[in-house]
Amino acid sequence: MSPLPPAAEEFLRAHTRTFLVTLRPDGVPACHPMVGLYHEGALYLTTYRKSAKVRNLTADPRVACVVVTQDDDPEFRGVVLRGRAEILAAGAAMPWTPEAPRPAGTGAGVARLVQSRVAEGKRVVVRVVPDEVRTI
Amino acid sequence: MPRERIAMSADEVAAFLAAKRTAMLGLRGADGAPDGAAATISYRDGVLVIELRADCEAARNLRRDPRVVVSVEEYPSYSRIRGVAVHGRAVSVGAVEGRERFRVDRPRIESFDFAKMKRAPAE
Repeated sequence: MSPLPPAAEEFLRAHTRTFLVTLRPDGVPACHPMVGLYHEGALYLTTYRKSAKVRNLTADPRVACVVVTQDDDPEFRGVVLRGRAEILAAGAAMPWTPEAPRPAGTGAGVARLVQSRVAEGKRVVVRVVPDEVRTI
Repeated sequence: MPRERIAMSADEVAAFLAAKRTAMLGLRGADGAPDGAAATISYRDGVLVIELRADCEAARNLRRDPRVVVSVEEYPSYSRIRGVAVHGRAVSVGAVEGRERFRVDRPRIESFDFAKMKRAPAE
């Protein structure tokens, strides 16, 4: 798609609270709270290779991502991305940058643990390239 | 999501849902692909109700395909993440002042509470 609207990009760079919507094999939607990192036109997520979300998006890569502020934010806002998810090859890393906001409690220990699980192949990195963007 | 061993009890789920006013919805768009939205919710006496602007895309989607999941989570810190997902069918129970309410019928609940993990994750 054409580049994201600048306001949506700005929001995505500043917020990581993400709900990934996938379709189960029976067609029922599932919604998974995750951390999403926006980098150069795509959203990156990481999860366990054997998780239900990986099974779902392997069978049907169509997904939606709802990226939002905290619920109690006085100005609750969000961006919805709809597109396709792909599982990156082993060895891919989450695009953490010094500017990326870290969710509470995810210090360097969690980041190292996650990256070592990716390196071991227990976790995968998922990239979502949007073809539709909507603001909430 | 959730492995059984870190699921919340029924009472914990009820208290968690009753305290929340905002949830994310997973549903299917007009093209059949997944779509998402934010909604206002209320939970009383075991009944979950979603409230949306009647003219919004999510409301139109639910009228066409009622399969929905309502996801509520909180993330005070990594080791205390908690969440509940209610799967069901959204049944419109009418609109007031442009806000449409949908009751979530046939609810199937999944939940997780990281604090119940035997080994706390590194922080």
